Amino acid sequence: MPETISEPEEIFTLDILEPFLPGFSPPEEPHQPSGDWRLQYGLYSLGAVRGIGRRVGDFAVCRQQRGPEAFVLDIQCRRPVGPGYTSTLTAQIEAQLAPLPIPTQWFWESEILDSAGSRVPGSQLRRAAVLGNGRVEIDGKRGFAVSGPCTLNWLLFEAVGRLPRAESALPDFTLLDDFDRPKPGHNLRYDKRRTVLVGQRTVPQTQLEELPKGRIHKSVWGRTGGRPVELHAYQHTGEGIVPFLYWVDAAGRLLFAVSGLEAFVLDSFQRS
Amino acid sequence: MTSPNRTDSRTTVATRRQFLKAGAAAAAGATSLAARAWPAPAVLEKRPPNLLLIISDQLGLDAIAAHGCTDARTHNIDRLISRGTTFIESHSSSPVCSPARSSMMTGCMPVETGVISNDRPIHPSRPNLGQWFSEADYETVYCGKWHLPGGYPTEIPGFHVLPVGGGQGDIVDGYCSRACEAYLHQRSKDQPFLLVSSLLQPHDICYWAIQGKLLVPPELPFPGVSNRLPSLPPNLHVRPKAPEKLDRIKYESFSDDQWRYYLYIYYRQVEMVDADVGRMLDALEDTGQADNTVVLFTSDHGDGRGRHQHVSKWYPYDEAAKVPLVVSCPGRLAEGCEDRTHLVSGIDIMDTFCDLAGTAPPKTSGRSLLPLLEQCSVAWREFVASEHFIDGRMLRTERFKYVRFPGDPVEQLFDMQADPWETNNLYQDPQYATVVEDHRRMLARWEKSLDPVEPTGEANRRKPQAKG
Repeated sequence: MPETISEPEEIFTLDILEPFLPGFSPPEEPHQPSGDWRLQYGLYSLGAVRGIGRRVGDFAVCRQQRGPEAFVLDIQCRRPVGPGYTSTLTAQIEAQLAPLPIPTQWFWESEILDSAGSRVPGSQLRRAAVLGNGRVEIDGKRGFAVSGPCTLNWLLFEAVGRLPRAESALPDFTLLDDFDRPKPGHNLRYDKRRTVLVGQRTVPQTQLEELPKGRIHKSVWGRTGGRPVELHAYQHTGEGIVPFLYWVDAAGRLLFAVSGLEAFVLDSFQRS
Repeated sequence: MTSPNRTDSRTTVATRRQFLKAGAAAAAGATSLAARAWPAPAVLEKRPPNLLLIISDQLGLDAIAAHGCTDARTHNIDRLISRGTTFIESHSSSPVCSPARSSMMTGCMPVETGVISNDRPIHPSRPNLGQWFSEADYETVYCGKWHLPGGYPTEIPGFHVLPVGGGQGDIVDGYCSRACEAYLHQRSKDQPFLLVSSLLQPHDICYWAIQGKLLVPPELPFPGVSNRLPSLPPNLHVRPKAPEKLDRIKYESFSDDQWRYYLYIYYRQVEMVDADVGRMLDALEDTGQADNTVVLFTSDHGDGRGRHQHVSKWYPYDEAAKVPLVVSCPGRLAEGCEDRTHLVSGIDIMDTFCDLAGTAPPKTSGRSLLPLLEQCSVAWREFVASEHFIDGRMLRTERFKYVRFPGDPVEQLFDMQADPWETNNLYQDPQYATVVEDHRRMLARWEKSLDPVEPTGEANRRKPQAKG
């Protein structure tokens, strides 16, 4: 059965991502969502522009399986924050393997570095949290109860690769956003499957246009080549977030995570 | 008129001639004793409290759950309100980013700071909070959006800056609140601090309006939220007679369904800033500084949210002009109070902080809120005023709102008690002729009381941006 190729302009958030697609070349090697992997993303700010927007950060996610029922996720983020200044964020999250991973303990560290690589005084933050018996404790001092399922926002970058590629019901959950901000009433669900062309080249083409008294050859820009990539979207909604769409490929590799203004784009992209 | 035990905020600490004489030095950001443009503030001999000023962007007063909003859950702002005083008649001095922020930073109206529109610097004769309090022995720290004129500069006169970059709120606010959290955990406690945390949300909503159907498609993109979409405001399609500068602006790109999704997004962004407010409140408690820190939470302006078919800001209608103003310091100030009577403004922040710190303020047009926070009986102002689209003026008295643009024959008068949605312009109703005349006289009297300066940054004006 011939594959149906969708026009990204007609699909919500793929229309936002469409400018990235011609230069996009996703990895073709095998990917095991439940195994060990490392993926690097560019964080783009779209703001008031149409198009690729501005790259505002680098974001790396590294997964390591720890036995049959647990894994560790390492997060690293770097953002330029002014002439000569860089903001860094690193985190390590230990979690139980489940459709919605259950964090057990995690730590995060952020700081601002100047042009010499020295820390800006007062900018370093180091926190650690544990989840047990329905309660999150931070640095052994502050805590709050969570009822029902909960997970960290960064764990969703891992979870979507393992979810079934079809409609599936996950229970509503509490999001522990940005490590320690509890936000109840969240939902993650399968949205849709689409196949789009990526890596196309822009080439001059000639179009034949019929006129009342003849025809002319018109020069236009067109696209050619590229290869089809099957994408599966998961939508994430809830209190305190702008809805996200996570786009994974058939192998479960997260290619794009986009909320409208911000887009995480797998670093398999070159501006054309 | 003020209580005899309170500093009169209109006392001139130094003459304008003295400010202007040292203007060049002040423009260079110098705060040394030799170079500053104003005399040192007098400091009384007592332990002053820490001061935490949290500014959100584009947050309307009625977008908060504790103020009756059923579309947003604002647990942390509500927590702050329950521990302090919230002012319901709180108005922006000019509901657009830079002018409003110049007022918050100086206690002066935008015509007195020179920041009459976006992307202008504060006039060198007007000390900002950092410059004033650093000379009162406070550690002064700034984090987040500045926009006077640069969005996120790494240097601001009078402040040590924690740089967190710029862009949009959903990226930068978490870094801002974390940087403030880090500062609160690590600071030396030898001297009191003034920390300004300037968060960006829910300002991101501007881009939803700019991008139109790309971000707000005609068909709801997330059907799962269909039962959580806010209701439309009753004045969505109401356009009372208005001066030309107001009347020509109308957002016509959205259907009713798109408006509801736009509002859904706005209230999620309100919840985002609420979470970052909570992080800083938690840090104060975790570090044992909550009992000795006055927290003041406010916003520069609100958002149109479809009311009067508007998005964004700068309008004199309440959706843009009324902003939260909450002051909390449990144990020191009254708790759980809702002040629905007194008219207050962002120009009151400088005087309030100075009064709390026991420091004489610079020359301002504001009033200290401390008598109200201590529930003292005090005579209060009869009106607040604000500036709109550079030369428009709004006067808000206890019952009425009056709007005028010079050279425009159309004025506006709303009875805010009978018509809180501002649907019926009464300015041509003969029954209200005397009211209109009274407000014109009050406005004229107020304008004469001001100390305007030349608009700043004229030499470097770039094309005004649609967003603020």
